[in-house]
Amino acid sequence: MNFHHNSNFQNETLRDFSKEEERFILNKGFISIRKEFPIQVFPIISGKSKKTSLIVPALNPANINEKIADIHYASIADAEEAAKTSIKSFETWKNTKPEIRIGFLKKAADILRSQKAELTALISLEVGKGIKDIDAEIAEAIDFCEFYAKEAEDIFQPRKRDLLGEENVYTYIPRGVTLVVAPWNFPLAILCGMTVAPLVAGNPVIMKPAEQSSTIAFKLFNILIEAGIPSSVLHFLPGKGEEIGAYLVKHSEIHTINFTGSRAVGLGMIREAASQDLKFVKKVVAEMGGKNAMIVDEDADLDEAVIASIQSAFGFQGQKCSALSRIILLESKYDTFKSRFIDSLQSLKPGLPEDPSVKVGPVIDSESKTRLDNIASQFSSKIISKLKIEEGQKYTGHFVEPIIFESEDSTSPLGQTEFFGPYVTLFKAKNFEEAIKIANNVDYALTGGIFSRNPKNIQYAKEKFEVGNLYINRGITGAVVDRQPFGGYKLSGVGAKAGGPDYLKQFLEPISITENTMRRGFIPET
Amino acid sequence: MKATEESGPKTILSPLDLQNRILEKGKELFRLSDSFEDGFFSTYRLFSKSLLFLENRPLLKLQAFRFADLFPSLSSLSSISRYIRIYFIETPTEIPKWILLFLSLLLSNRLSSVFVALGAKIGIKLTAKFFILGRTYGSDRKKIIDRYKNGICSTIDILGEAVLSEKEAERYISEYLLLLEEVSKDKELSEIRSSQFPNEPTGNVSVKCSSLYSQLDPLAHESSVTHLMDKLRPILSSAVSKNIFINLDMEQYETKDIIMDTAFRIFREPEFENYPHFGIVIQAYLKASQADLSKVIEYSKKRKYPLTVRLVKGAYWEYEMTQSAQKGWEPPVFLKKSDTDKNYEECSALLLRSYPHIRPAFGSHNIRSLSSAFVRAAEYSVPEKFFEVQMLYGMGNSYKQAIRSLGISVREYSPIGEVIPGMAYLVRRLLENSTNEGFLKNINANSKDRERLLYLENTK
Repeated sequence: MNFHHNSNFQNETLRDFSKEEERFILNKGFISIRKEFPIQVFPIISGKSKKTSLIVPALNPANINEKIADIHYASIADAEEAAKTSIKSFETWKNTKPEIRIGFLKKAADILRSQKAELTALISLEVGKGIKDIDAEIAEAIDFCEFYAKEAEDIFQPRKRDLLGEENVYTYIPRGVTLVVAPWNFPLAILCGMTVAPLVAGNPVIMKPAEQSSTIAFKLFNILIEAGIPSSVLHFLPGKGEEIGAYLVKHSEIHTINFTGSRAVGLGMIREAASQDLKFVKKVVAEMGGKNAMIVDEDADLDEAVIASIQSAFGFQGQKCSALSRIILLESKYDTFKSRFIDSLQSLKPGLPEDPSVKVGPVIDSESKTRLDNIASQFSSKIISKLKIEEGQKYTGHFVEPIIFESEDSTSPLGQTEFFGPYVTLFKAKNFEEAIKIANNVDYALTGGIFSRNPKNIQYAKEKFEVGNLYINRGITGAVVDRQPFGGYKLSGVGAKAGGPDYLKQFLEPISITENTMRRGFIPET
Repeated sequence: MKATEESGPKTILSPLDLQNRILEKGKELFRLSDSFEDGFFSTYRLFSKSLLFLENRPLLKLQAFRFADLFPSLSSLSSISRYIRIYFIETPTEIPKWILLFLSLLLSNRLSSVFVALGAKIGIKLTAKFFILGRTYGSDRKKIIDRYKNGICSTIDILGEAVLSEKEAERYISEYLLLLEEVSKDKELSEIRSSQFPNEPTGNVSVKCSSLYSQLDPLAHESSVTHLMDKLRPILSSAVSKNIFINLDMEQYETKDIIMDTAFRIFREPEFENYPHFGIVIQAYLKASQADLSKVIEYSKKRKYPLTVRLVKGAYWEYEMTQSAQKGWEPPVFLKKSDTDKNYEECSALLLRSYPHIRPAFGSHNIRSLSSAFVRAAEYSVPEKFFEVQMLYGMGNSYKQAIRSLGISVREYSPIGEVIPGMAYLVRRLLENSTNEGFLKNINANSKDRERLLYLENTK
């Protein structure tokens, strides 16, 4: 068999859980991380832990009786100090040889690899993600380190175009202090990628993790410091987004904001950045969500389509920006798909995500639960199936019942609003062209998929389906670094794809230098 | 493999002697099969000849397999003719130009395109019927009875779509229970059995574990095993009360350990520990197969009655290669076909050496592989009555007769289920399993080429 590789980058290997020893190591991870509870998470600026007046407990969303950590929230003063020291350290970091910065990323990848079991346990317990999703996430974090390290190796090779008597060099310099505002749903991978890319490019970074996943963020911060990143260029600020996040977004010395989160917050940042009167243009890189669709053609393999839809819609309770929330079916497939899909949902087991047989865990917090419950009652007449969660479980954790809706109106909120939960709606289309039209008729363009065995329709989708990541005859989540660079357009985001060839350049300014080397008719030999 | 263990053979064959005997045995099988060829089963030869049209036409073969895979989801004649156009006319293949011209002419007219679609539908149904026994045991048991009359036993398996939910799994369980019921109540079958196959149990059923439980998951090993045992218990209980053989089939590598652990645990339960008719499968294309086989042998030694092991090469090679490549894993299967063949022979020897603690069932259509097993059996003095050969329903009938004539039992793996979705299933198996391709060549080859197939490593 012939495999065509276009790069020599190697993705991190997933763990093979059919092996008994892997399952054994996994269990040990839970035991050892629990011994550290409650973990004390502090703001850290230039290597120094900060005292705080606000301590918020981090609770296991699947069992709120379990305390994971105490999060010591940073203050505005801390944010100001982080910004100030970042500016001071910028010159040194900028002038540090790229090879040295690259080496730190490779070391970080090694440390991440060595701590897979504990990190898996911590992610499971702090955000309620399932084991296999976590394994993919840790692999992704490692991939980000290795991939951006490799990209940096290429980017920092100056591009030369020398002529007789004229030397031309095209090269990159770092932009400046970068604020990283990360989400909780990929607490390790997204934060890691968003942080190491500006760092390896030569920018000091202020990490502002999501409130809900500060403990994992703290672990990652410590790993990066352990890997050798100087404490003067990487600062850790757990705390309220509305407070310290907003303060730093406005800060006159922050050059780049690297954001992943809600559309409202992202657009707000872009407006804020544009309205500031600075000596440079503040850049916002934002990844903001989606309302992702799967089209099931009349000739689709339903065995595959149903499984892929279940995983894409309900994996991690639908709390992924890539999650499936609309299934657009060709009429002839509608009834069979619907009944198999419903039965399949009803076969999933809800419970504690650390139990490997559980497929449905909690949502992140009570706020999210209330919001989702309200949506469910608002559209209760459209519900065609709901996976029952036992009363007891509802009281001990933030569990939301996964729901399949059915709707004829793709312009209603069921077809337009991102719910960020285990909700999916079925829509009907007369033909494939109409299905694509429905799929495109949203503000977002993030991920999408089709199940079809008609080469014409596959080609049509490749040309017309408005998404950043299109998947054909497979699930629509689980993008792999370098193989499937991830990110959307329209209101799904602005900026280059994560894990792709353009990502690093967002934190760099390209410079072109031309030197006339001729002096009075004399040309030095090159 | 060294042949120096305690229960070793009386006469140790030198490697050269062994090879020569295998060659002789293979030639004998070919000779015998030729003598059976023009009898009762000759339609198959016609069919396999027609399949030859696909040989050396890789693009057409690919489209043909793709079309068959798609076929079950085409609901109308107009969609069939539409897809014939898309798959065979608009996609370049090696179809001769005059056929293409003729075909597009027929498809251009509404009336004649219905004719083409109907033709394709009948053709696919007929093809499916070659490989699939029938819809249910009840409706098509005559065929099984006919096979028994011709001296060929069967193991029945239920085909179908993947189980996506517990509801679908429950439906399969009741289908298995119904099948056991029907087999045990078949008077005609029991008469033939008691007269011609005195040692055969009432029936023989192959169970696909993945169709009994929709949430099989290697990560959740413990709960998968527990659930699978719960699902299997009523089926095994029913089989025990009716004296029916139950074989647990193997599928993907990732569920192998779940199925093995399930078998080890459930066969040990008081209700089942002294039951003589249980079997499991070892797939020789897996690198772990010899280690697994040793475990099964050790387990079987502790039983009152030996387990049966169906030794196959395995039908998911492409799937396993894709999975491991995408996950960055070492492939669990041998990369070279000849390594699998060699391993098959080593596993055969291991099985035969464990006589009488385990019953071997050699599942293969490869004459070299089977000859090797027969020669080894003689070397280790394993009586012919103690092992059997298993082949797929619809394939290699003259070989089945040839093996029968050597005094070795032959059992057919006979799928039942809806013909159309079943066809897609079988095409997938055929496509995945390059050994079957070898088999087709095998059948149609002339005697010189056939002899070349008897060497373990193709020198080409």
